[in-house]
Amino acid sequence: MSAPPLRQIVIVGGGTAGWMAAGALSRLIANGVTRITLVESEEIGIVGVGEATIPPIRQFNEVLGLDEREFLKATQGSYKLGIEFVDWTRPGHRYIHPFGPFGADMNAVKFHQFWLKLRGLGRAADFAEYNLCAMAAYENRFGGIAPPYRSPLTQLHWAYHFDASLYARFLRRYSEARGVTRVEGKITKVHQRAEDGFIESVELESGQKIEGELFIDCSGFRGLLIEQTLQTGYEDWTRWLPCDRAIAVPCAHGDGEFTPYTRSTAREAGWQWRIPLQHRIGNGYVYSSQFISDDEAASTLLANLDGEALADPRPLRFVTGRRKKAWVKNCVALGLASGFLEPLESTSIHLIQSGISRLLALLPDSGFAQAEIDEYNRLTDQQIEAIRDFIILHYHANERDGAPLWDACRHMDIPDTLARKLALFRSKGRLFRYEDELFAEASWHAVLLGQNVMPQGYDPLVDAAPVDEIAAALEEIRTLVRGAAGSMPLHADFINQHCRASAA
Amino acid sequence: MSGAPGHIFIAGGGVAGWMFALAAARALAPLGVQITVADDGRPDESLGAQTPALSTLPGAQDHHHGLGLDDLDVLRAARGSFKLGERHTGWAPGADTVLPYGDTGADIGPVRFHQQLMRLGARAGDMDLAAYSLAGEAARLGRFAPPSPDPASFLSTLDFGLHLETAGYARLLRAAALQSGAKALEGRVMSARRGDDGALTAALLEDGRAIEADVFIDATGERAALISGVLGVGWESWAAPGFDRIASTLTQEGAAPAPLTHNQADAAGWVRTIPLYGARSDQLVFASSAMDDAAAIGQLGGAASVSAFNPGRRTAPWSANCLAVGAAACRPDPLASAEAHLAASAALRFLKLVPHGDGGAVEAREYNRVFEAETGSVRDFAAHAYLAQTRKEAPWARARTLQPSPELARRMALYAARGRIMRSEDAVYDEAMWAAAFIARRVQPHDHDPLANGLDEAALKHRCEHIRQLAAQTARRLPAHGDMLAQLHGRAP
Ligand SMILES: Cc1cc2nc3c(=O)[nH]c(=O)nc-3n(C[C@H](O)[C@H](O)[C@H](O)COP(=O)(O)OP(=O)(O)OC[C@H]3O[C@@H](n4cnc5c(N)ncnc54)[C@H](O)[C@@H]3O)c2cc1C
Repeated sequence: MSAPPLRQIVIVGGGTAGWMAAGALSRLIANGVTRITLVESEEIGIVGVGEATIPPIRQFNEVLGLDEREFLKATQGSYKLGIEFVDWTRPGHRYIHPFGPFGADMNAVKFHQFWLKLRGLGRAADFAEYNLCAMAAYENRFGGIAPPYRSPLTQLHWAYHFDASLYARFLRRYSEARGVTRVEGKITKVHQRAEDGFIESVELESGQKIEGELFIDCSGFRGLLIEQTLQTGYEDWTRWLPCDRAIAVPCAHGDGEFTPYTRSTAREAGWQWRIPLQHRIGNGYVYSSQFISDDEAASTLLANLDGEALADPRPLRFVTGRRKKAWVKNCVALGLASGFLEPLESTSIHLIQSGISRLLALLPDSGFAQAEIDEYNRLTDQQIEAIRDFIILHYHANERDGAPLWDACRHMDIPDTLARKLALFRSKGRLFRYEDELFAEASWHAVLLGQNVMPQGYDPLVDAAPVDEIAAALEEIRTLVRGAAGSMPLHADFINQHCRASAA
Repeated sequence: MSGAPGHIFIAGGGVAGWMFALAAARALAPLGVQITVADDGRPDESLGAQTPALSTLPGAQDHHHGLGLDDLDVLRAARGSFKLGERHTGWAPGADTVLPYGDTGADIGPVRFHQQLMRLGARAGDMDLAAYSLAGEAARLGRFAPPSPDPASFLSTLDFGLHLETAGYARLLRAAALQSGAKALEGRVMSARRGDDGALTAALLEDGRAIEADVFIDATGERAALISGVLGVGWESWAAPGFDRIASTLTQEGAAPAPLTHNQADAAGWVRTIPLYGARSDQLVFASSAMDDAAAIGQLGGAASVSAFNPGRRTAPWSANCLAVGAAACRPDPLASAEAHLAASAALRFLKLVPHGDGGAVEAREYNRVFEAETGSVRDFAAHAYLAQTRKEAPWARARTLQPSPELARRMALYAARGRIMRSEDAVYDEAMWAAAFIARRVQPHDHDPLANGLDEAALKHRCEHIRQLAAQTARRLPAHGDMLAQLHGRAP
């Protein structure tokens, strides 16, 4: 017969991960029995730099029942249509990794195959011109498309930029309204069951003990429960993702446009992010301490801001990699406690979200089944490895000759899974997806072609259609996409009209 | 340059060979690629010996669409009938269950339908999933209608496979392939010549002819004249210990066919009946330790024939410039209903990976990787039936010693704990089909999904009851399957 449901879930940490978990669990486990408590320490604080997201975040907000515009007002948020990569391929080069598809497949042949053929004949426009998000991004537009341009080919895909501290605050209000108890204080001791090492309770500096049956470790890089208590171990991926530090600083908006996309600019020893919010722009330089000093990194960052700096630069240290297991005994690690891929493709918040939905799909009760824990860990591993490969691709496929970090990345041994993908793509532009892979083929196409990984040939099936017909079809798509993008309002106007935050 | 191969040679006709030829001709003939099929005109064993009829999974319709075929033409050519699911009797004492296609009940957020029933106290042995499914109810009443494309309509929840006579199906595929530009050649491929690099250069026919080509497709069934006979690529056997023979027969039948494939377990084996329009096919998979061939033939009737049964797969179906399809690549257990699916997906996958002049080693590796995942799912779906059955007779007890694959072991452990099913790569069977299979096979989890406890019991009961009534009422209004077929075939069975 049924084991009784969990009576007490304890979330340790009140950063983005902790409050996202609290919000979702309080909404979905409303069984009248399970209580949820979240512990956080103001003294320790949160990382709070994760501010760019990818489109699945919209499903998360939907499950919570959040209104998009209210949410953007509350978090000083803006819209995101993709990421622009500047100088990554080589200095002076730029491309965009937009959301959504490029063109449309025809006769079961992928769009980019037609493009590859026409490009070879000098008859194709830039790949980005066939993607609506890319074209809207370049014109700094966002919003409704005028009726004549509405078609299955012009569906907009988007995500958000938001202030991470405000997001956590927003989710806190949401969760508390649904019965989550928040406890302020610093955990100094963790108590484990003698017989099996399951966590029984956490103890605060004040001596207060909080007992639970399931613990969700959202304590950030330190991994208070998963590592410091359960000693799960960490797999270091620095050999593929060499950056180990970041310095972050917000700045005022300059005279430039309010861009609906994130920008990532390659630098000598890493790269710089630029995330436009309503009240400020978030910036940071992610770098490898092997190739640049902290001072140099800070001055490079400060020399490359849109407007005046609004705070002192904040240094961060990390090791890219993953916790060997995300779920051990009765402890599930989410967020930075479970591992860190660098923020190049804005995937950390997404990993939190998918960890939560996996946890809900495999939610234990007071009896824990090892088969479920194993399944959770297996799916988590698969997902993070596929994302890891995608991020490594950005570093590996570069032509920045003569810069030591970039030379090393170009020549490094890459994971087998990525090597196979690259070999297949180089041969004829083909791509096969692995199980549960987050980034769709369009994303791989954008980055592969953007970083100049050009296939030697294209799919022979393309030759079945006459060249002029293909050219006409591509031109039609390009015209439609350009028209649709041009018909949208400016991003700045759209925000002003619909989701302007009250003064910060 | 794109460099498509100049000549693709297909050894063997049958459903596997001609389906491949049709797909290849449609995509590649316009590029000037030459496609030749050597057809020996013997009974079709391309999908495995003793396969007089096929019972497909849902999705065959999509494959037909992709091949430019009209489902109705296919049904007419192959004495076809519709399949709303599978009926299993005798796999556990007294068990008689339908595994329906399409939606069963409806999920509530993350809570699967079978979890809702378990929350309401249903146990594996008494849970009648089919009663909550339109396909299940329609099948019980012998009714059928094509699903509605309108997602708001309850009629859209129905899904179906097809019952097809293998010979008629192959004839239709052949005609369509020839029309699309493939060429037929009378002859039986026995072997092939190899070049210095190990690749095949010419196929050798029984009559002494040698035919050169760039790519060779081995559709010679379990004979595997090229992939095994010439290249020596190995076979991984999946057989449940002891179940080593298969017999079959195709008999005329006047009654209207049921829209279900029936799998009936008995002391020494099990019989799979595929109802066609005006005929029926029976396959008997049995243990030679408990029944001899004469007894098997006796059971099925005089015209039956018998062969060895060794389900499994080729370790690398694409090796050098030779691709094995059909039973030369994988012989699934008939229980998996996967023969036609695998033949179609092999052709479509190959077209996504047509090699260059360079032999296509990179493409072959990718093809084989996906093949492995796909056939792994087919292997597991059938293997589980042998593991979960609870019959007492010696062959059945022995079948339970089958070693599950690590993936199946994981799947079973996960279901045993709380009835959960997670997706897996290139799965041929979706979550709902696995849930129905576990339930039909009477696996009782220790517990159900705790999220289901958050649902209000009275409201949930009401909702489930509503779905049950909706399924029953809607099914009652559908036309009789026999009438649908009479109209389609334009004649009495
Ligand atoms: C440089 C950088 C840039 C990033 N950019 C992005 C991005 O663009 N997009 C994206 O999706 N992600 C990004 N991320 C990742 C993102 O910031 C994190 O995934 C996200 O902030 C979640 O953090 P967290 O909640 O796991 O941890 P934290 O924010 O570190 O929160 C930890 C919590 O645990 C509490 N805590 C810790 N120890 C104790 C204790 N002993 N007692 C009580 N409480 C305790 C703290 O008080 C805090 O509340 C970036 C990360 C970095 C480092």
